[in-house]
Amino acid sequence: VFSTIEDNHIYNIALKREFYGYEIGGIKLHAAIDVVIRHNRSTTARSGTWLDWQTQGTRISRNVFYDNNRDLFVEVSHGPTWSSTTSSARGVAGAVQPGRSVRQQPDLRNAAARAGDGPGHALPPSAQHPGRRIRGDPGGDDRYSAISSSAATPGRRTAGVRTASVRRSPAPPATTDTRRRSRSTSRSSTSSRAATTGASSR
Amino acid sequence: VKQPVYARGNVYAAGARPFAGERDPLVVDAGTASIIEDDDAVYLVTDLPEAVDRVRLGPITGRDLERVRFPDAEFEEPDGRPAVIDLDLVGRQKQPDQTFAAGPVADLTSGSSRVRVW
Repeated sequence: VFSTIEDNHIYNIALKREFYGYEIGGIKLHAAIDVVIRHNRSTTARSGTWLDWQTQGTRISRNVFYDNNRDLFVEVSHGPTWSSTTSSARGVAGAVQPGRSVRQQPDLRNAAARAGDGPGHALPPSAQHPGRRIRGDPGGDDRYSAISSSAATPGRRTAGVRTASVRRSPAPPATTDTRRRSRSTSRSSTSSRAATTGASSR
Repeated sequence: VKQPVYARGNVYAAGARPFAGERDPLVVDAGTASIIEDDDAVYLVTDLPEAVDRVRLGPITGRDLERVRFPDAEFEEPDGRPAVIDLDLVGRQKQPDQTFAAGPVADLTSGSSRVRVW
């Protein structure tokens, strides 16, 4: 809350799946309220930047994201959230409930996915919780302006755009057997997801 | 409840496709864009057709954006003035009375170019 994260080079985050589960990213925040994420370079991470729950008044600008499994993910958040003049070479997923963001980057994938409910916050910018909750819904209320995009070329670090409605896969149960199976089939499941969304840059 | 999505002033190249509900996107067949690392630097290397020069936009402000529905809020600067998105990826200041390329690099033009982005 009320923080600035800037001028960082972030790389090799969770690629070995040292920890199985969510909550890992180059920058991963819950309840980013009036946060500035500026001029960072995030590569080779499971998620370049992942803003999860309650994002409000947060500004993401002048960042470079590439070679991440996912570049930018704004999830279960009511906004306003701005991602502007950010260069993304892979993918932006927004499961935003209700989504309130403006984006300007060359690669976006708007995931109109249902997720859990998230608490809203009082305005003007504040971390006070007014007690109402945001109900999960299909997302939207996004603004895409001044995006320049080109499609991915396989095998190259190439800017790409995919605007697709994708639904996130449910998390597998955290049992030992499932983890082992999930690890051994991660390549094929990634390919299958890529085919669904048209992703082909890796 | 489905929420509206607003999209305008965007350029799509080399097979990238616009959001289905977008009005008047510019779609061109050709063009490439790559990220190249060189020591500690990162370069955006592009080769774009002439058509992309047709899209020129002024800096976007909170006045250009629809009000955010759920928190019932505008896109604002910390002091309450309309948000101004006038600094591009490489730090170029966009003047309010001028127009610039779509995307994160304000001075990007058609043809071949190599821009250091980090």
